[in-house]
Amino acid sequence: MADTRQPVTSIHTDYDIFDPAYVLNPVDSWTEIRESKCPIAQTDRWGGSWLPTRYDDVVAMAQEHETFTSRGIIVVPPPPGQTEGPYGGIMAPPITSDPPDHHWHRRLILPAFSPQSVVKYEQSTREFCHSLIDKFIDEGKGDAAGEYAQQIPVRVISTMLGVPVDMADEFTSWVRGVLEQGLTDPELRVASRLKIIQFFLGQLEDRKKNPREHDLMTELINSEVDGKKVGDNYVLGVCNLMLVAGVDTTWSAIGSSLWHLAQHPEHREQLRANVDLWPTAIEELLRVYAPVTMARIVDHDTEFQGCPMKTGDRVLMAFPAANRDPRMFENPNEVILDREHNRHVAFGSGIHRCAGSNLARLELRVALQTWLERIPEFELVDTTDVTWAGGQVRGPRRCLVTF
Amino acid sequence: MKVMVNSSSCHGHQMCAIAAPEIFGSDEIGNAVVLITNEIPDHLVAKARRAEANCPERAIVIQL
Repeated sequence: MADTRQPVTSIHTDYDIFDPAYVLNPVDSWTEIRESKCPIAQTDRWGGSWLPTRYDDVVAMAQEHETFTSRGIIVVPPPPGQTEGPYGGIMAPPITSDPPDHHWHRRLILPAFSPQSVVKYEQSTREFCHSLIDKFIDEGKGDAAGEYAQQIPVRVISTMLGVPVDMADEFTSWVRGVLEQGLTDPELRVASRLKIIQFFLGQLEDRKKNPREHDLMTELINSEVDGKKVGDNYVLGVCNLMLVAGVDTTWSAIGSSLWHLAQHPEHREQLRANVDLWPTAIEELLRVYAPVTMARIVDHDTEFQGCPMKTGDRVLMAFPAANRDPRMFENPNEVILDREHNRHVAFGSGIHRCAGSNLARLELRVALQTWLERIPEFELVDTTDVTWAGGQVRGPRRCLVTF
Repeated sequence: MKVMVNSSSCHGHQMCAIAAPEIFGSDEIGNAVVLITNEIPDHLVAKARRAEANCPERAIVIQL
């Protein structure tokens, strides 16, 4: 499976999402594909996939869930010997669910993520962001990705899940094992997955013996659908999903936004001068630096925009590419913090719209506000001191800045 | 002008509430709730149009 060793022959028929050149700069590739005769590229690498780049095509795939199913949502096939779905035997509802079960899989977790619910994390997140900055502010330099962005979402989701916040570093390594490094390292992927499942099994057993008040996991354990308890597999799956989805994605959005702001003093000034700009600015940063690509598995042979797709084919819904489509966004590659019309799909589209989006927005806003309050002027040490991770989620893993 | 949300299309993106918080709120699962069910006041018309333009599900209906 180590296809990356062979150079890419054509971005249209042989793309490689793990090619360092593509990870470093995917935008030029998307533009080339999008404006070509066939805006849906194809490859045989990493199990084979299709890559739509136009907004309308990506959104159509997200909407047509009967054709483009969620039985597999990771950008590469499962490790050898494992079944489709991020966690082998344990799925990750609702992200791996299709209707009709999808409806209740999702309905049970939505209240925890409503705007009114996530507001309770604002203060503790802000305090935590300050404490992170306290650690390096006197150095005059720091790693905006590793020492800041990476540290925040894992603690917020741990608090929400009611699991030990001091296990943050371990959680992070497991999550990177299943979603980042693990995509090209099957042994690591399986081992990390097992650690997550074993951990949550222990957490579940503890709550069954000692139910907790105001505890999301306890509430899920006790939830019923059609008069029956939802069952351990569902609760385990949801916990898995929340940990993995809650960590890597938001961290990438925070890191990318800081990488951007390090290079754009005029945007830092805009935000400093107008506190009312934040909600719109956050949406623009999410549009341009959308971290997540989700996959789908084709249910039945179908022709989609002239492409002959077969049962079992994997399609990559490249939401970040859709967000740069000039057919939908004027000057798509420019960050315009007060952009009026921004129908972006960083959080996807349709029935699988990211359930965590309100929490992600809160974390992103608080992380950026706190950073700018404490460190209003900063710049990249060197663009070569920035390393990017790609694949399912794109974001900086190291971003050295001075101030 | 009046606004409505097609609730079967709404998937809780929150773009409407971000563009026009005076007009759109959320229910307990984060889906849109119209807060001004009568005529939209003149000073909020531009925001209403922006909310409609930004809904990725095209779930907002503007009635003139």
